[in-house]
Amino acid sequence: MKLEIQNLSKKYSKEKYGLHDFSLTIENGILGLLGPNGAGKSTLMKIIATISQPTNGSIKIDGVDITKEPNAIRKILGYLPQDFGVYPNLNAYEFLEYIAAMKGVGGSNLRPRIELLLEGVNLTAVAKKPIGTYSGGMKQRIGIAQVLLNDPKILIFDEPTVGLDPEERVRFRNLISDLASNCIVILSSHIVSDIETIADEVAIMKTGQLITKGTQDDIVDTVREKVFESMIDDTGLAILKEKCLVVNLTRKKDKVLVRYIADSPISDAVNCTATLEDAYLYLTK
Amino acid sequence: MTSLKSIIKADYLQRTRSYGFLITLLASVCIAYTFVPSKDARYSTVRIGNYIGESNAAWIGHVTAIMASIFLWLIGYYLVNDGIKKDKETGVGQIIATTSITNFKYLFAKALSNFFVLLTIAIIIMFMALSLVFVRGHNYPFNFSQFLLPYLFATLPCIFCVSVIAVFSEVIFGKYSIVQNIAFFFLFPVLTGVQSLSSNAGMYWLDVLGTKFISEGMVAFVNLHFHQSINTVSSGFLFISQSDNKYFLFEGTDWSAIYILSRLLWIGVAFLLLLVSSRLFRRFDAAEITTGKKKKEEVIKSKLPLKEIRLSTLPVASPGYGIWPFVKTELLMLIRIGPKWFWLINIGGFIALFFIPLATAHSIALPIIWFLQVNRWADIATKEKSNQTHYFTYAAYKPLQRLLSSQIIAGMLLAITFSLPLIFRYLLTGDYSNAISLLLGAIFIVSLSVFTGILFGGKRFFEIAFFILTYCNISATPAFDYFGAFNHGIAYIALIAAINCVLLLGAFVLRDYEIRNQ
Repeated sequence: MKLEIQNLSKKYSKEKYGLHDFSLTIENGILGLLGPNGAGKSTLMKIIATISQPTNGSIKIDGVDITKEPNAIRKILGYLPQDFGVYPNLNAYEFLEYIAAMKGVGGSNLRPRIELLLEGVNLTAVAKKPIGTYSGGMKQRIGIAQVLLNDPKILIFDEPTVGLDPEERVRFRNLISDLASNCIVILSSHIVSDIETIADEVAIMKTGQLITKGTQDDIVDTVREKVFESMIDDTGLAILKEKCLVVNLTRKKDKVLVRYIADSPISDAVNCTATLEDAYLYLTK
Repeated sequence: MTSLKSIIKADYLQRTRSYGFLITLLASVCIAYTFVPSKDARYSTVRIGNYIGESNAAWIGHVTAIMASIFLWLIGYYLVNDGIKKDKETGVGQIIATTSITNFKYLFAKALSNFFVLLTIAIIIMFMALSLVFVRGHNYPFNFSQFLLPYLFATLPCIFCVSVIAVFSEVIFGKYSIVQNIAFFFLFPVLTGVQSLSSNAGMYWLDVLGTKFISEGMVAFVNLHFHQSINTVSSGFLFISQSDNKYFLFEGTDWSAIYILSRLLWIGVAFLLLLVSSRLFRRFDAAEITTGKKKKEEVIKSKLPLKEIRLSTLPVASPGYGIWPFVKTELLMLIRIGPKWFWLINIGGFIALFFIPLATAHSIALPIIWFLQVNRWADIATKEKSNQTHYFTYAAYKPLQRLLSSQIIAGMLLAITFSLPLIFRYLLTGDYSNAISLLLGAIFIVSLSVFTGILFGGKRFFEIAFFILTYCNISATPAFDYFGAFNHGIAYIALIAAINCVLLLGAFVLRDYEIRNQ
């Protein structure tokens, strides 16, 4: 399966673009989307999920343009929006059956499938209670379960780990890895470590445009041998901030341990292993 | 004082910076225009027997102030009765709860914000009336005080009271907005009843709308100058023969200190109500927002040993493109709106429709039973937005043909179910025309709610429109008949059917546009 995004633009007003001439090709595997707030990640995901129309451009799934034929993707789509709600008066079974109907899924296997999904997201014990009584994390898990109701071939997760506890986050990552073998998974997150752990490829966006796309190694290469750590005082820190990109600070008594990216280090600097987070901060500065 | 001003300002801006409010203002301009009918119009709004005032400043000021008081009392409540609910839904309430603001100050700010929203509408009506004075009454001396004072003494205290009642009912009924809406629906007849009692006693202090004193002043003026013995003023949209109209030059009201005191008294009562509300207000208690700490603890304790999801091991779900699973769930959601005990009232009303006289059941009982479900109808096409599930529903497979159709079908099934006793009785008597009218009426309610819900992106417009429709129908106004209580015949049936088709078509077109342009 191949998802081709060609020259996609979303214009909100005369001068405001959500996406600007965005092109990308995605094949089976996990694509991590990184970008600061307002970069256009959610806009891109909404357009792929067919709930938003682009101003220009096309999105093709195996050659079919879904901006013109949205139903072509809806049957094979699993989408977890960033800010989604639920119907509070329905219980988990009823809600998932309703979403299944939306996706065009039914039959005798639906109920056992829902039961296994609820078991997998650890909600079996509360499955017959109204969803209105659930906590934020539990609602998020219902959201994850609904993604898998059909046999999705394209999965879109917009900030999926928000509200999940560390244990649930690990389970979610494992789930995504399992899915990726024969699906396209697009995952956006502010938590770089989530992407770092599981993404096969990473795309970095800024102001509606694609900055770079590649494997994690390709992206980390942009800052390799440029990441340093130094122990300095506050005066030195102020000077360093003007010259370099400071990516982390750890205060230790009257000194500060600074992690920064620079072409050449200041004296007494230690060269560090570059990470995806360093590269992301460097590319979106 | 500064913090109070800031809260009121923010709340006022939040409410008025919306498409819906703009529509409300435009509607207010149109409605204000209808308050002062021209001499060749087929209706009147305020008349003393056959006497109607010439369009001078005093008459237009009095008439529009009376009408504005009634209008803003009736619909004002529905416009402003969700200030606290919005704070709860947006989470702002929880931030407010942690600040040092007192309950009274917060609720007072909400009431004042309600008041300013309604005052904006009242001012629009007043300016429209003023322009009519210049257009229609330019031949008469301009008496500004007799134009303005009815607004000051009647309309302003009236909208202040309704603003406070909106806050009070939100505090008392909390999340049960269905009960709130219905309680207010029945408050008006109660107050009208009390008002007639006050008339017998020759007192004005029981009249919250403040129109009684003004009306009686008009009656006294006509009786004195034309030697009549008229008792009351008729007000509302009066579609009665206008051929016998007699015009007179109204000079205004002699304002009495007791009347002004009665208005101040009502403002005092409103403050008292605020004080009571502040004692009962629970400051966005988290336990109230969820459903209690007990349930949450139970959930945490019930965590089971973790199991991984293996997609390959899940039973393969087969395609299912039918709409009945939707209809079933939509129906379930409609039924579950509001408290469970409310269904006892519904069932009681349903059974009563079998036994009460057919004409009364048709023209009064059924529209009231339908109105009791106002929150259900209003929810049909707005719940995606209000529950933020539109990301799922708009990405559904064929969302128009399958999902919207199911929502409409479920709504219609429920609306028709409520009218079944009457349909059954008409069928027994062979009156097929009335049975069809009832079916069309049920379809109309759902069509109107779906169309307006999608058009305005919320429930408000429908709630107000349905409220007005219900009131007009139980007040026997044939022009607003949508379910054959007063109008019969093929032409009428065809008209309602055509309106239904237009509304439904409009709903599909609008939803299609909405889905494509998120």
